[in-house]
Amino acid sequence: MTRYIIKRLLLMIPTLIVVACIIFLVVNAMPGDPALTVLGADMEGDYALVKERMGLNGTIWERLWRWLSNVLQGNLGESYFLGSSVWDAIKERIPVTVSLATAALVFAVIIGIPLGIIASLKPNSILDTAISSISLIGLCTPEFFGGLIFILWFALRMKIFPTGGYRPIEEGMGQWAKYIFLPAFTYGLHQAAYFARLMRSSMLEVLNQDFITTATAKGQKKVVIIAKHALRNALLPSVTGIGMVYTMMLGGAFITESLFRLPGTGLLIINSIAKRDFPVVCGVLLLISAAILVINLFVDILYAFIDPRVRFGKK
Amino acid sequence: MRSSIHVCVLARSESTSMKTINENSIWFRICHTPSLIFGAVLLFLVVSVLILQPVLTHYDANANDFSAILQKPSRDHWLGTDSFGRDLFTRVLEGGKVSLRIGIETVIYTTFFGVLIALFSGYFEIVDVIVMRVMDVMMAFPTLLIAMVLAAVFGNSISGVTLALTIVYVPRTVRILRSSILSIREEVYVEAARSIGVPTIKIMFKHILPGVLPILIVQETFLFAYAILAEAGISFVGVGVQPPDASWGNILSDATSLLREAPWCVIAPGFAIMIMVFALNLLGDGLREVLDPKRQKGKAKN
Repeated sequence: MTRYIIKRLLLMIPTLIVVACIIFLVVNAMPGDPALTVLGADMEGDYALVKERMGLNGTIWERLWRWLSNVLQGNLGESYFLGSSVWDAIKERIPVTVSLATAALVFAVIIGIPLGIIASLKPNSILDTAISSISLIGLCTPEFFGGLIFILWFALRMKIFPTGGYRPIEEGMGQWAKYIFLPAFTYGLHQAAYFARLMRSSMLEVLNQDFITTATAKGQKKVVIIAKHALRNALLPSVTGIGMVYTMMLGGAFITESLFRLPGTGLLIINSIAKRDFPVVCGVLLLISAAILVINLFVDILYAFIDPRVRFGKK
Repeated sequence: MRSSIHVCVLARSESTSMKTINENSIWFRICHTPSLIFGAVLLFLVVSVLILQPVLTHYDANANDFSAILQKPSRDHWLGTDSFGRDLFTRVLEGGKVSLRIGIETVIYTTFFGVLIALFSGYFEIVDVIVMRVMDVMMAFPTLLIAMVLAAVFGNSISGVTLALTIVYVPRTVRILRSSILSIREEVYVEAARSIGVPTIKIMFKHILPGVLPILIVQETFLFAYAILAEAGISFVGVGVQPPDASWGNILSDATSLLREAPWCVIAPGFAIMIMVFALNLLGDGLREVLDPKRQKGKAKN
């Protein structure tokens, strides 16, 4: 097991380097010249000098080499416009994105999984059809549209929640929760639909297996069969699902952040794309990609711990 | 030679007999899958309304009319007007055509490249090793985020968004197709074809491709829905399709600042996205039920 983990960790390094190269090349291929933006319309100052100061001199390969060697030393570079290093800019915005994604995941799990279980208990009943239809509608509602409806209803009409913005958790749990609730609920509801569907189908699959029939034949109570025999097996796909959804949420948070004006990494990258602040765009992308790789590895390891078949198969 | 002809005849007669059974049962199953019928009808209605836009409205989607700013839905303006006095119904239909176009083009390109890459990598091991490494790297990227960055790279246009979404979705198609291609490649009928000297290209497209078709159709239907959602999201944050081109995403984005005064500007494009994606998802669910890759795989193995 330890060897498996070490091997996977070592394999991550070349992947991450390739990912970093691709990110740099793609981002720097964006049309537009940030040096011109810095100089301003009146073109005062020396263009070549500005370019050199911004690290935009030389061929793309020279720049890639310079950036990559800096990154490998843990230096993501300086932002063109924010007046701070890329790492500092990202560091203060990470808690926002992580708050949003985590709170949304909690909503998705506590709403989605029970609904999926309930739906699976009586397949094709009215309750099942209702839950399935609602979750299908949930899947089809883009989070920004759902969010706009919630803002309209809960923030503008009922005035329970603010329409947007963010308060850090240090300013008090209550304030934080008040500001993060609506974005997280909006974002989580969309994913709850996914969990409900996933849970329903994996429960149905498990409930049709022989050992459930055996347990029923033995006269075991239905509650025990569901809670002890079925649920334990049916939760397996959800473990992978949770990891996958969390990575998706980190990467997709920018839309919700933009809607609720949450100053997270997503909003940072949108603004940096608009200004062509290449080092910041690269930094955010690299960090989120690394996070995705780490979470995927973590899920694989967790899966191996839970499911002996995976563990022994790997050995 | 005679034995190979014999194999050929056997294989052919078996395939025709399978086909007649399949055809009967497929029509039977289509008629008994309400989600498929409902999804197809809904999709047909939505697409018809979008195509019939010039007949349905006489407004110009981009003509400002400052005498009719932010009007509520009325007989003249079915869905009201926006902050430039533009007829919202016309704009939603116009935006729908853009979203539909991006969706269709993404699906076509993704299918084309996805099938090609998957077939070659499923058949040639050297290609497979390279392709799988590339796909692993591509899967490490956050899908929507990288699509947004690529859309900015390709110039924030309709074709730019299409290209960005294609690049992001090809690896998914390849991954799904590849695994079933690998198993079909080992089937006896493929080996028979190889043994009588059928050219590799012909085996790939005539013998293996039909086997993955059910999976491909279902996958691409869902991908159509994802593409429309993704386009709306990217345009919503202001990176995708740019004004004056309308798309469901940027109409919604414009409407965000008007939420207090003109909520109808939000409702119309939002519901349009929902209905379209709902229809596609129903269709995908229905197709999966009818074509059921799992059942077919089981059949092939027996």
